[in-house]
Amino acid sequence: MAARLGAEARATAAVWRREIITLLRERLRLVLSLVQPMLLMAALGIGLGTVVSDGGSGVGYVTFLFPGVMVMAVQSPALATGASILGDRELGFLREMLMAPVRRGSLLLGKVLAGTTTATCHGAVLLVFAGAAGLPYDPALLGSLVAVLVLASFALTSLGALLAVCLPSPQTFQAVTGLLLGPLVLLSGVFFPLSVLPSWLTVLTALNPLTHAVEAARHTLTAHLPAAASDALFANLRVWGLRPSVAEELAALTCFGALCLFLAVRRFSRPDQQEHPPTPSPEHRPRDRDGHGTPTHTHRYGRSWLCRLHRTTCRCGNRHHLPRAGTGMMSGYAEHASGDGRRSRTGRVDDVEAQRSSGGDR
Amino acid sequence: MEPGIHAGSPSGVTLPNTEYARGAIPRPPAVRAESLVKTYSGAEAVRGIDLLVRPGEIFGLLGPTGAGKSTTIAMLCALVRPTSGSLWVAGRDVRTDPVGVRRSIGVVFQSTTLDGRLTVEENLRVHAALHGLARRRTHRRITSMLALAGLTDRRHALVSTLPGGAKRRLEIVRSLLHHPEVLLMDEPTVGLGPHERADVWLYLHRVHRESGATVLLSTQYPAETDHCDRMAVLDRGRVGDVGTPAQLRSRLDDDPVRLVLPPPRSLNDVLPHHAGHNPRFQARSHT
Repeated sequence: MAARLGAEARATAAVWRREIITLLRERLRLVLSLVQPMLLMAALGIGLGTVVSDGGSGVGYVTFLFPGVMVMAVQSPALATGASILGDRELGFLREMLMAPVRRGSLLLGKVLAGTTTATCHGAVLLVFAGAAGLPYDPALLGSLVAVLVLASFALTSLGALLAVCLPSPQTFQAVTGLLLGPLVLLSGVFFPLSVLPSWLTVLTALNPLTHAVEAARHTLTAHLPAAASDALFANLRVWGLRPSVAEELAALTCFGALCLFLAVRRFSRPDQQEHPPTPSPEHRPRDRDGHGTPTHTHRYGRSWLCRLHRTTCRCGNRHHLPRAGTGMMSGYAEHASGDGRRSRTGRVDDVEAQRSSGGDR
Repeated sequence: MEPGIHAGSPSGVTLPNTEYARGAIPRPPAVRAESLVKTYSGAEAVRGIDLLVRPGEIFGLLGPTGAGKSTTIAMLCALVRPTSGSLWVAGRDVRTDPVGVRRSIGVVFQSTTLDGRLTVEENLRVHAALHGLARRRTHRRITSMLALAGLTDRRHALVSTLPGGAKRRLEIVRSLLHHPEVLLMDEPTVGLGPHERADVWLYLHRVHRESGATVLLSTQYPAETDHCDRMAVLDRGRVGDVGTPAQLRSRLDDDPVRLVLPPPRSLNDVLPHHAGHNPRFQARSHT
């Protein structure tokens, strides 16, 4: 049992180490990732900071913004872990990992831990500029901020991993994360205190993991600031009159991350899950009597709710997409010419019938 | 194949299971498949394969694209579940003990599974850790395997900078790093030039000699089966024939080869030197 656990742990560590080696080899990426948060801090912090009053506390908008920007810096490398899982599949390295005599969950855990580490590094380098945002260089404060970043990274990396194992391609992943990021960031209280939002919107923000990360980071900060605790800017998030403490925010983040990871592992561990079936050869397509390309069957298109594309798996094992424009939302048909080994043609069912009656086959 | 010979081979390559190595108990067949079927959403990729691969031999699966080679190999490495039938690899059932199967096999896939951003050594180290090779033995093992593949001087080179043949060799020795009993290779020479191809075969034989592992490989090229001890011809998901390459060739000699030609071209255009001379060729025009 101990040996078994040891093997799983070593596999997790191997996956983790591979990612870290790549991270260290591409240090330029780390430096470049500093640019956007710095730009945000400069443009919003200084620009907007002149408009937002600090209420005489001496703690300005830049200080308010800083924890949020740190969490934002974490979010994109964290979600990138999902892209990296899909990238491994395209690259073929996923197969090398799947051949290891360990549970698939251990491999995914390695990926998530590596993503957490990478994302935390991306957020933590910003702490170098803490002084510019009016934060004291207090080891206790910096340490607790890093701790918040670790949990925020974990939650978001797990979310990325969950999306990755559920989505078919890196392109779809990009589209979905692109859609998600806007609302996640805007409803997380990075730019404005959530206490100003109407109560129905507050409920939405409470479901957002980024909110808890930003709130936890901000309240860790206020505890170390001299006079800002009463500032309207720093007022706590309130959901139905409840004010979650920093510990509760962190617990929420951990639970969210653990839930995502659990679901991702379950999905990832399904056999055949990560394998695309090979394209069936012409020999495997159903043959008609004369073997000379007469259509063998027609098939009506189904509709995938996720992609909003019309596609279906035909009984020949091929996936079909909507053949051409103008065939209407639910009225596509495919027909199959096998026998001669060419790819299937597509068309409306009446076309097929017309071909048949006019002796369209060679 | 005598198991005892490999136990103390000079490169430190030893059989994984010492029981087998001492010859105390007979080794189970490397692969045993009984009416193996795999269906992908209605399409039958493999429809009833029976195979018996003896321990220690080089066994080839010959067939065109879509004959079911890759699917068979994917089932052998417990990556894909058989739809029906039974399959044992190194005495372990792929359905009930996939982890045990993976522990006892090494796999070289058709497309590369190396990480180009890591060095040669790092790739091997990741593999060693994934397969639970003892840390203190990893370094020595990597050194000996790199020597075997002729990659000692590329140890710290990034994998993306290696030529295709070297990558293949690296994949082969990587798959043997954890002392597998069975080495599965899906078209190991696909995409390589004639030189690199010969090179890969040379190393493959060396690796096979030194490790004593059973090698099961698939190929599309009939000429490559000369390297195999025995082979099976796969056709549309079924086993056509099994035997040594020489046996299969001699059987083929007796079969007439039927050519179906499109009407405008006569047999004389296609086979000017054979038509009318060789009784094996029977012309039949397309109707």
